[in-house]
Amino acid sequence: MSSPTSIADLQDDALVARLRALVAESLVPAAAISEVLQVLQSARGYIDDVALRAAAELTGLSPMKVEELCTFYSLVLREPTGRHVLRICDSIACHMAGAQNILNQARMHSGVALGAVSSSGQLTVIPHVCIGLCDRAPALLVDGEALGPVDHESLTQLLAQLEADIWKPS
Amino acid sequence: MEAVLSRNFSAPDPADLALYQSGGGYAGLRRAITMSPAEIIDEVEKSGLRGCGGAGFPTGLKWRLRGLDAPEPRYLVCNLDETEPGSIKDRALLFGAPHHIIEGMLIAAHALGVRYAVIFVRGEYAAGARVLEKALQRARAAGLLRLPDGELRLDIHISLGRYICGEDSAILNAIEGKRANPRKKPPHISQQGLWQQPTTVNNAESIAHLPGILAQGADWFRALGVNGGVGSKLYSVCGPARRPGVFELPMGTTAAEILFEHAGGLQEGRRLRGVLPGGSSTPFLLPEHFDTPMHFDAVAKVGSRLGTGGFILLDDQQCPVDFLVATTRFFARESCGFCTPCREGLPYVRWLLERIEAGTGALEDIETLRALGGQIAPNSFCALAPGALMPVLSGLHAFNDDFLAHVRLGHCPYQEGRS
Amino acid sequence: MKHVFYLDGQAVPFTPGQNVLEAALAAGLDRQIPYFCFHPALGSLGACRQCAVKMYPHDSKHPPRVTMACLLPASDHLQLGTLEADVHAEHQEIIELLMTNHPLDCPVCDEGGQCHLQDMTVQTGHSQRHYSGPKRTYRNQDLGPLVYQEMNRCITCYRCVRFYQDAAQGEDFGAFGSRDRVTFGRIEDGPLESPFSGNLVEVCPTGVFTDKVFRHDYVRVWDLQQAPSVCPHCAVGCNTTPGARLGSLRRIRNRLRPEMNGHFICDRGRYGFRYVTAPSRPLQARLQGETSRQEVVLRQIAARLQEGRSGFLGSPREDLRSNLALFALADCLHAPFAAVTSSWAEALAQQCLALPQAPSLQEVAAADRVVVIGDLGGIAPMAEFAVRQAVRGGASLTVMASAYTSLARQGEYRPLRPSALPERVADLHNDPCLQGSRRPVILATAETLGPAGLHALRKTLEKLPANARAGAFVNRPNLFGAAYFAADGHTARLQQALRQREISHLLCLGADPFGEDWGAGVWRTLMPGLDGIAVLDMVDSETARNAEALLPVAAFPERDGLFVNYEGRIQAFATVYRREAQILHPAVHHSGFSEAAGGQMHPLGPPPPWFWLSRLAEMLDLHSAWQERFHFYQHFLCPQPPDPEGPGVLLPDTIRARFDIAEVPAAHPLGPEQWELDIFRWYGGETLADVADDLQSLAPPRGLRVGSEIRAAAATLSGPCGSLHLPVIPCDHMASGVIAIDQDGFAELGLYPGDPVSVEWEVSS
Repeated sequence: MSSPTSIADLQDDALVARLRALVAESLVPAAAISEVLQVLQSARGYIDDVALRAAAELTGLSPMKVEELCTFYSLVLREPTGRHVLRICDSIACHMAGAQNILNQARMHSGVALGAVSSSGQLTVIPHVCIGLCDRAPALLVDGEALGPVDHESLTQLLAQLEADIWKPS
Repeated sequence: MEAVLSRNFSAPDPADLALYQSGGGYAGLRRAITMSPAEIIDEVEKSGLRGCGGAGFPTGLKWRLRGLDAPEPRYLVCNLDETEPGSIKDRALLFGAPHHIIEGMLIAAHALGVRYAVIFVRGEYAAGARVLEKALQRARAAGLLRLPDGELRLDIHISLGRYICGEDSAILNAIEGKRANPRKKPPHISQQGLWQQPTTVNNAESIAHLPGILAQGADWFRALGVNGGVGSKLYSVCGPARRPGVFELPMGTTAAEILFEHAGGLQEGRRLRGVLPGGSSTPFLLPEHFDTPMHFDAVAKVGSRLGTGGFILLDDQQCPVDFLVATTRFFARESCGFCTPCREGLPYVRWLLERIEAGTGALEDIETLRALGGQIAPNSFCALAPGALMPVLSGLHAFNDDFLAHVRLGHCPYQEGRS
Repeated sequence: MKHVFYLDGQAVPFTPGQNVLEAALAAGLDRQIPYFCFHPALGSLGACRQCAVKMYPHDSKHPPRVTMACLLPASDHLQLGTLEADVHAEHQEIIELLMTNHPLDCPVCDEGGQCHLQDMTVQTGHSQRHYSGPKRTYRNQDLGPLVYQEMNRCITCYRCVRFYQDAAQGEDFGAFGSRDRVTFGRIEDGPLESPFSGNLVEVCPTGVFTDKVFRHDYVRVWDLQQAPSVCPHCAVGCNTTPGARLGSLRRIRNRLRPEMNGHFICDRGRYGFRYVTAPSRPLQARLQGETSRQEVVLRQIAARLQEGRSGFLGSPREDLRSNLALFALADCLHAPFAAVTSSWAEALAQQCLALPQAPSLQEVAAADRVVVIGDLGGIAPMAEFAVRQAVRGGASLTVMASAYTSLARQGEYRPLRPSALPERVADLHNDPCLQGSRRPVILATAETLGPAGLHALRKTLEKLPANARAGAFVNRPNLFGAAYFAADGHTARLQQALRQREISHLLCLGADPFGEDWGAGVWRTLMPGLDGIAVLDMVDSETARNAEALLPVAAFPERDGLFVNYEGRIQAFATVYRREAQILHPAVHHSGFSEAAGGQMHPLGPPPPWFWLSRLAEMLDLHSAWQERFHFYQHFLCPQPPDPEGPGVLLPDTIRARFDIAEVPAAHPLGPEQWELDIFRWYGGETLADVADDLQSLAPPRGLRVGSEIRAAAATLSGPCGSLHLPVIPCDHMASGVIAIDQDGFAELGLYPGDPVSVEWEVSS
């Protein structure tokens, strides 16, 4: 991280303006880091090194401090992902409702290890903690949108829609 | 009982301000701003409202202990970081009662003399945060955020994700942009919290009860409860029930009524062996205690905890060891890594449970589990690890035969006949 | 009133505000309460949960409970126990949990024998691990040449990150990940950037961070010869414990000195010691550049001295006793003597000594307002560290410097050119940055502030409240000792004698007048008038390479001696080890040994300077006169040499007062149109440390440091003694009109900090 960098490396003036506004609104610049990372992640898919340094520069934190946060919080992605991220709950209610099968099915479909990008580039499957849909188990988050209960058939359908980029949250 | 918190749960747009106001919304706030902070705190204390995040600490007392003359600025945080498996009530509030939360925050801010407040929403509920944001914009546009001492700055903080953020000092680190490890106490957060200033953290459901208490009075609220409980409560049921979901019922409704009436009992052909009554960090409540009124004191009396009021059912087709593997895996994964017993102990417990479940465990593993349970909980820095062990320790006791069977058979008896 | 609580029935004294663990450790009860995350300098964290004690409440309402000693405030008559079965079980259980993932690699671990985890494990009696599952493993990071990381050994006590981020305010080391996979290191491989990184080795309670330099040359720590020593790499004089084995120096560790360096030392102090083992170190006597027998070289020097045309040059790099021995010999011969190499440096030394009592580092850390002048971290890193502690404690900080240093980022930075400093300093008592302060401290790098600025500082102090303190720093261990001899005009007289051919021979002790010492540019012009130079030194300096006669001397840990630090604190260092005989040339060894048998010659490696000087006095038939003077001066300056184990003794004010009459140096403020020079130093740079390879692999590139608004690729600077062509290194927020160069650059140009310089820029193509 020692190489010099600047916010300009983001090469997106609108994004930078939005991020600057977030920091300006924040009571303390460092407290804007959560939102800054969220905005950067949704714009770039994951927090790459450029995003990390830009986030640090914007909030006045050191890149090391930002990395401390990125590696602590579970929703921050520091690796590239597919166009769609499937977070499959494996906590107790979903576990009892067959989360393992759902996870296996999604992983088999992606053809790669959990957390990796499928060969189609469309999908990353990540096991996740309880997403608060215990009454609709087994459940998952598709690009942050909650979905449940899912079964083999509905997941097959979902995966097909994601591959074709035609899935829409209900 | 009338629906208080849940009255707009199934409305097409629960963020609709007119809809909320037509049901008496913001009447509590109107009354609150005519009262002094001390009077509001009295009213809340009189109502008997207790913290709905799980610990059940009296809300009014928490406010009183912070002190009316605490140095300014003071901060208020609404904890909507509901991440504990089996707890889904705050999600229901977020999507279905956003104005309850906003009005509650305004009342609390006035009572506590706060000019800056944060609603901390877990990242997995980002869609719900959008509903809340919509409601907040409408309330702001209607001038409702203008309190007698000036406009309240009310921010929605969307978490970057982790269970530990729900701990009431870790949540402050998360807001400040730090790693969300719990903080050393003392100083208590009521003295030195957010940015080292006096801070109050309340659960979203506790906050959502405030409009009703202020609008209709402490006595009205107390009368909502039954069997020694006060107020209403969002209970939820998950697992192999016929109608899993969230139910607003009088605090003190018996477990049996919740399980068998409201959640419709178990699915066909299943028998209930026990429940975790308040999310996955509470001890098992066994069938012989199902007639217990589900309020803090009564549940504690039979050796469990009300917690969040989120029931997780364990039936006779589910292996209890496997059940505990799943609950423990969650806590081991969500440990923040700060203190030794939790960081090193929970993975050890998980490993022992997995061994037993896999049929490779030995009798002494069961003993080690018991011993570890006794060591980890009392020596941990925060309540995460003690909570993680409650189902394990009570499960070891309640389902001892199942543990022994795994060791004796060398495989999981529930796997027999399954491919 | 004396405060006590009771631990296992034993009264433990405490001061209010201490926690139970802190008080128990301070009382020496380190066997009763095991602990990991607590560190005396880093405080309590409460993370490891190891320091359980049983607390018996005052009332009978509450049952006794097991609680953490580090989080329990000490209070009067508190009854605590550690002998209870449940407490003992807790101690064992936490260790067992820590050991579930800790590798059993003690036999091959560098930490073995000095491992806090090992000690605690043995102490609590945990001996059998029940866990038989897989252990977690990590990929280690390459953290550069100084610190070795073995992440698998980590017990996650967070000491390292609290030291590096909180205490040292470093920005390239952190805690990553969560749950049972927390790691400590950098974002990516690469050398640690903090000047204090080596302390990770000492704060880590196990072998995650070990000394990578020691690793090249490792021995088991219980085999090390150790003795109390004082760091020779700057004016702070941190207390250290060197460790040696089989006649070679292996490592340096901090030695606790609460009023000074506390628990830490800087990386120059820890790793600069490799000058002792550097291949370039002169170990054998040389004549005309050729290895020669010591007796031959001694005779040659004696013959030169006999001619009566010699001048003597001592050095702030050498210790007090050696300088005295040289001074005494010069005195016997009525020869001119100077302790520093230029009149400018002489004035600097005098002005430093004339300052009133400087604050200790402990007092610096407790200041409420701090003004730092110049790049303190490049000169005296531990002084900078103390300032950082003051800032952490809430002190305001103002940095007046030409460069935006990492310290400047922690406070208010005022970019100022060196020539403007005297005027600013003269007005400090009116400056808002010191208004309302109860414990103000002003710390300056002596060379950047210069004699005029130091004088202004002394005058300003008279106008500030009586509790205001100031200190001035150089990267020499004994400038204050050398300042005794830096009487007005000595250096000028010596140079004048050379110019007028009154002398044609120079005996230099640890001085490098033709290399990098101040005024080297002038000295170089005088070189042709010399018939010969004799050098006594432990490094192969430019002067040593040009010497007619060279006698190698013992490195500091190889002898005892005295340094006078920036406070005027006289500190003794002890002989740690003797260099082994086998390093001598066989022929030299043979003759040397036979003579040593007669008590004349040191059999083991280079001797201390006073040994050579004593031999020379003997050969000149001046031994008793020399000895008499030597003892007389030593008694005058330091009647009772301090104990190396102790805190040293402070110079009496009466001796300081002698320097108050020094001539008032003139300030020369420059106009904005003129370019001027400042000195650039980095934390690892200093004459001895400059030959420590591992440390020097981190040295920043050579160049002309100027504000980044200057668009030039290179430039040529010209001064009275020569010119200098170097690439331009643009630096953000530098004071305008300033070019910072290294000490060699000053030597080549024949200039001083704050001097105007003419520049010819070369614009990049």
